[in-house]
Amino acid sequence: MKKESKKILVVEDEEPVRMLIQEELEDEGYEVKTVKNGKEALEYLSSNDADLVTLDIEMPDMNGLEVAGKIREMKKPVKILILTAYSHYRSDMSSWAADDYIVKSSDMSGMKKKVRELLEV
Amino acid sequence: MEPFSDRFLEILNQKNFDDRLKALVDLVKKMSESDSVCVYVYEEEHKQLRLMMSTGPAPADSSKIKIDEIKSDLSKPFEYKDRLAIPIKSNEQLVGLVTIEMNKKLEEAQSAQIAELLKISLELEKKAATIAKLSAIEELDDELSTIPMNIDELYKKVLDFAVKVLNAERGTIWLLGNKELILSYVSGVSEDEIIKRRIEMGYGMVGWIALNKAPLLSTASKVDPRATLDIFSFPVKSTVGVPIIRDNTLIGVMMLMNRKNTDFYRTYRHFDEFDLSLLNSIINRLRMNLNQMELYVKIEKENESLKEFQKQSEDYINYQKEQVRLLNVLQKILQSLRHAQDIKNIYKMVLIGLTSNAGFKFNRALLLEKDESSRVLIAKEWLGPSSEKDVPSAWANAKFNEEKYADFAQYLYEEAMQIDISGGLTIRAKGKYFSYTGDYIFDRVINRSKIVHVTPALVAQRGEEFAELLSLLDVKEFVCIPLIGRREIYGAIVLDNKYTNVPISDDMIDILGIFSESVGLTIESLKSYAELVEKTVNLEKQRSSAEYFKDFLQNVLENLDVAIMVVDRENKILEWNRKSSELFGFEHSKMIGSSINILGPEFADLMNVAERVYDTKEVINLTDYDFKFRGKELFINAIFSPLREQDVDIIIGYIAMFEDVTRRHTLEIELRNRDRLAILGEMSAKIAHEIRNPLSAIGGFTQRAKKATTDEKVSKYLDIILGETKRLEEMVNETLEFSRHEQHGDFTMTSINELVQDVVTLYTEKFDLQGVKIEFEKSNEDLRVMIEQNHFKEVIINLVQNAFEAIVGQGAIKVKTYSDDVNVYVDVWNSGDPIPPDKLEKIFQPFYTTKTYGTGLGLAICRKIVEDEHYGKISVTSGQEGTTFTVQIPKDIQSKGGKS
Repeated sequence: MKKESKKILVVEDEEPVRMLIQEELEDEGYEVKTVKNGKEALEYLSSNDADLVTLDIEMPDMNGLEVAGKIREMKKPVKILILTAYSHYRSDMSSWAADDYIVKSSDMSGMKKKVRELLEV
Repeated sequence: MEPFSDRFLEILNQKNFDDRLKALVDLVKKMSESDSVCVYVYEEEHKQLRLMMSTGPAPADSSKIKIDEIKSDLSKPFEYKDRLAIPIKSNEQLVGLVTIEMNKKLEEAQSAQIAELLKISLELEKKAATIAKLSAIEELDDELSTIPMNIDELYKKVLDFAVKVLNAERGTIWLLGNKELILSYVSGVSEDEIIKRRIEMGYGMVGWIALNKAPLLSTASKVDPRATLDIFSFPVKSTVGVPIIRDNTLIGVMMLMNRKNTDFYRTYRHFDEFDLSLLNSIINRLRMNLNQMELYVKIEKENESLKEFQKQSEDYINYQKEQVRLLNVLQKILQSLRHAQDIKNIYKMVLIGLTSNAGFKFNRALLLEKDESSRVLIAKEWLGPSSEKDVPSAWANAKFNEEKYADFAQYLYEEAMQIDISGGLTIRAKGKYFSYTGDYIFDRVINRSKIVHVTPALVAQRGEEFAELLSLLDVKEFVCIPLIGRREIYGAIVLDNKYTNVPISDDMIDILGIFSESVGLTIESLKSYAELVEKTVNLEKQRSSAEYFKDFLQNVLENLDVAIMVVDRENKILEWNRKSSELFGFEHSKMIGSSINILGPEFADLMNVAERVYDTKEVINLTDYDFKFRGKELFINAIFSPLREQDVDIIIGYIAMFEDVTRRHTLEIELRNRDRLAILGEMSAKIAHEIRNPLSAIGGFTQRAKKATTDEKVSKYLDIILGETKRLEEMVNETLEFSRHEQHGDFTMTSINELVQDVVTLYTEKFDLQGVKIEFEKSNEDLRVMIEQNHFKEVIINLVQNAFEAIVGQGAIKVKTYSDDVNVYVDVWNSGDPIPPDKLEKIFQPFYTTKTYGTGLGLAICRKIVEDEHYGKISVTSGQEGTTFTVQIPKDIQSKGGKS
């Protein structure tokens, strides 16, 4: 069963992780665009739309939280999912511009579940 | 003719002899009818008839008719010089003669009448003279009785009087002296008429009278050869003399010479017996007067001596009065001194008392104070007028002030308060000082406690030896008195009467002697009192400050958070403060005076160290000394200081100070751990992050590879990779969990009982299956506290899981909740093997684990949550009866700082 293709922008500075996320999400049937950092993400979004953005927090130059803030300033109807290697951000998430967050894991099912939930809403 | 009796009375009534004779002549004239009448009076002594009165022509040269010249018989009238002479006879005694004209005649009866009248007239005249003399004596009596005279005046007056009354020409008084008679008083005798002034007894009439002590009457008619002796140069016709005898002793002789004519007619012209008796009575009066005078002199003398005596007693009374007054003054001065506060006022009172009019009345008083160290007297105050011209105003002022007070002591006291004597004389004396060693005056005054009275004679004799003082005083007389106390001489006072020059009496010196001692004693007692007061105050101060310091020290000692004990050489405990009791558990009362050995063998090592101060004499410091005491481990800092005897370098004990640094020590260790943990946390986070990404990629792609392969062997290998990756990821997760230190969760008011119940319920079945019973002993109270629910639950889960893991085989877990006033507690007990103490203390350290599997971060995270987030405490005890973890959370988290 082929889902209606939703467009996801993956912002991840580490190549293997970026590839993994892309492949996993594409397996799920999403149209995935990847960029290496926040700057590229904002450039992309300024001329393209996306249904969801996954953001790594720890990135050079501009961290994921900042990028989320900038995206929100674009007033685009885009969901933002934070992917983080830290587990301790969770209680502070309410103040973030992101819609949700998930701790990175080798088990990608958690992430895929979150993405599905966010896009279903 | 009128009757005879009438004529008789008429004649007698006449005032005097002449008038009576005139009346008699007139009567004869009438009787005889002769114009010429002469009346003669017969003078028996001279045997002659003297013409006394006549009328009409009288025959010349017929003033005296010598009897023997008359040839005719005198018994009948006869013719005499052509006149008829009629003899006047009374009782056949010839009285006189009347001559009338020849042709006239007088009856016999008539001549008898005339004779009686003449006779009576003559007798009256004689009596009148006697009366005159007697009244003169009365006069003398009056005169002598009224005026008290000296003896010269008396003799002179009596002599003059005798001369006058006896109608003498001259008078003399010879007084007996050394067996000769000395001409002492004369009346009517001129100097050149005196030939002899001194005659021997028996010489001449005077000598005769003196020798015989008998009166003598001598007339020219009976010339006494003694009268002619060469005593006087004038002729002596008659004399009357009497001896002056008193108490049968001859004093002298009064001799009157040559009777003068007088107003009174007398037939005898020289001194007569009457004169002698008169003189005798005069002499009697003289004698009486002499007696009187002697008596008077005696009385005078008595009186004088009485007066003298009276004066003496008055003087004595005055002297006594003055003594008493001065003693009173002294007493008043002493009385006033008793009220004095300071020594300067005392001096003032003394000086005022000495100079004041109601006091000792000295003109000036100079006070010298003794200076023991330089052995001199220093002039302090000098009271009195500063110059002659200041005297009236100064004394008037002083008197005015003085009279305002009824009480002298009161005056002294108040005057001393008001008066300023720093000017005037004091300025002149300021800076003057006199050595009292070897000084003529002050050596006596100060070293021998003598009063020195300097008189003009002494000034003349030895003035040079105290010239300096003399030049200051500028007087010839003064007195210097010491102020004598029991212990010492306090100084001296120099007194003088510069302006009045009143000499200083011995009595005054005596009083000053008393003054000197009593004032000295008073000064001494006041000084002693002042010293005593000062000493008492100082002592009081010292005592109160000593007490204060003692209290202060005690207080400090008691409140110090350091245990202090003071131990002497005999190991006796001298001091033991509250903290010592707290730290070591011995009561203060039990420890003081006890031997240090009472503390038991655990102290032995420490005491051995302490006693080294006796050798080293230096402070010994022990830091973080691990002290096992009554099963507890304490960390203490100890300082042992030698206790030195004051001012002497002898060590009599030591002071031991113990500071319980156990908590600080553990805190330090904790802190050290924390620092380590913080760094570790940081690192872990970084590492975890760095590891997680590649792990995610490894795990992710392995999963993908597994899906992509059908080769069973590859698939099996990939599963192993996946498993290991998962283990790595778990470890990373825990590491990250531990290091999320900055985070505070949501604190909510949570029921601890409910939370614990949830956890217990969760594990009950699971543990039961493996033979472990879990039990919850719930507090009856609903314990609600502000906690971060999720974190706290994690702690409880962690502890319960740990408890389970500690049990090998079968066992039991008991969870218990309870509280006290401040905290809520959760105990998690397990029946597992005891944890060895060395491991127990490390149990909360990160990465410490006894388990084969596990990060070793579990309990570290628990502590982090309990202690850092909730300001509680987590602890563990372990023994044969099992191991208990206790979580303690403050009820009021806010009071402990709360969440930020």
